[in-house]
Amino acid sequence: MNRQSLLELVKTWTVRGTLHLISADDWILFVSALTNEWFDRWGKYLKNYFSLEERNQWQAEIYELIRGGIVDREMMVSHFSDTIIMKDLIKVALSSWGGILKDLAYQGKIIYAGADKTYFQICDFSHPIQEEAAKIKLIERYLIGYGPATINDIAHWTQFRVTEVKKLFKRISLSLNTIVEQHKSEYYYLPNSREMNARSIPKYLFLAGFDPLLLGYKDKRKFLKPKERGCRGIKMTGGEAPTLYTKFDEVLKYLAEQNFRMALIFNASLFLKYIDLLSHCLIFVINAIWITKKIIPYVGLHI
Amino acid sequence: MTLLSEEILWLSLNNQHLLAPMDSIKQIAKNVCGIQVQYFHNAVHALKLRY
Repeated sequence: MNRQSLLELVKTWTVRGTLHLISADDWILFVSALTNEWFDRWGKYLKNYFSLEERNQWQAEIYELIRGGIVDREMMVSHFSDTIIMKDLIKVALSSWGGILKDLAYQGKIIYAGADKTYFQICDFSHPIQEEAAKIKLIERYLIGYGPATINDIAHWTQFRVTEVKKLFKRISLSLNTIVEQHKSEYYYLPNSREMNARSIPKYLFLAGFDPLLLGYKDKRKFLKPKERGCRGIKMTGGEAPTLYTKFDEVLKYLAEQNFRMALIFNASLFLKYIDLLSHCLIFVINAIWITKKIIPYVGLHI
Repeated sequence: MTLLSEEILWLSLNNQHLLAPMDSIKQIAKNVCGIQVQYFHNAVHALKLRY
């Protein structure tokens, strides 16, 4: 994967109010579907810090800054630091969690300047898709990528209310298959998705924190081994930074021997000196957890 | 129609491009409806797994 391939992607806040890399031509779909929902939700959070008037004022100021070429947080902080009135709220408005920047992004006014960029650019959201149509399209797209999925999975991923999902679901145009799994959950998926290839399920997959597979479903138990094989639950923390596993052959081998289907990789890059010790500790912890059988060992290390 | 958990898992992994890679980063991002990028390396790893 080269840098060039990232140019087709853009970075912005989408589902769950979190930053995503999306295909550039999906941007209008996401903003159209989520703008009102998340503008309101984010507004409730911002209300703790800003009156509506202040929020509007910050939006206007930041938008103008970006339009004028002051495009990254550092430059903005420096600019606002000279404005005594707003000083207390600079951190909130320009927070790495989004602040007023997320507010503007949800209105389709700004976007990160590239998939790997930390600064912003102005954008034009003048031809939105009608909100309900966009939400229906988003659900259809979810089912293509994440099916088989339940109504609760859709609600979990989109964070739309279950009642709303049920209403929208009736209007989707895809011809879906319905399946009832042995635990009686109803799943929906595209009929042709079974014929794409015939590869078998790998023994383990080393996923990054925040992998779509981890975030896409409300009930993640299907990714674990069946109960009768000794696993009863899951502890999922989400975040950390993976990528390289070369020194962890023994951990990987151990996980494979235990027939783990997946592992979450934790970032150990700050502890390279102690990497051998860490890997031994990890195996010890895995064993201990395995013995209690309360949660599946779902961990790995990254350096 | 009734499917076993294993079959449902297979379908999910298949649709997530975790069983067979794709040759377009853009298409992967489209098909999984975006990759969360709280940490950039996580997102790159998620893409690489499917590419």
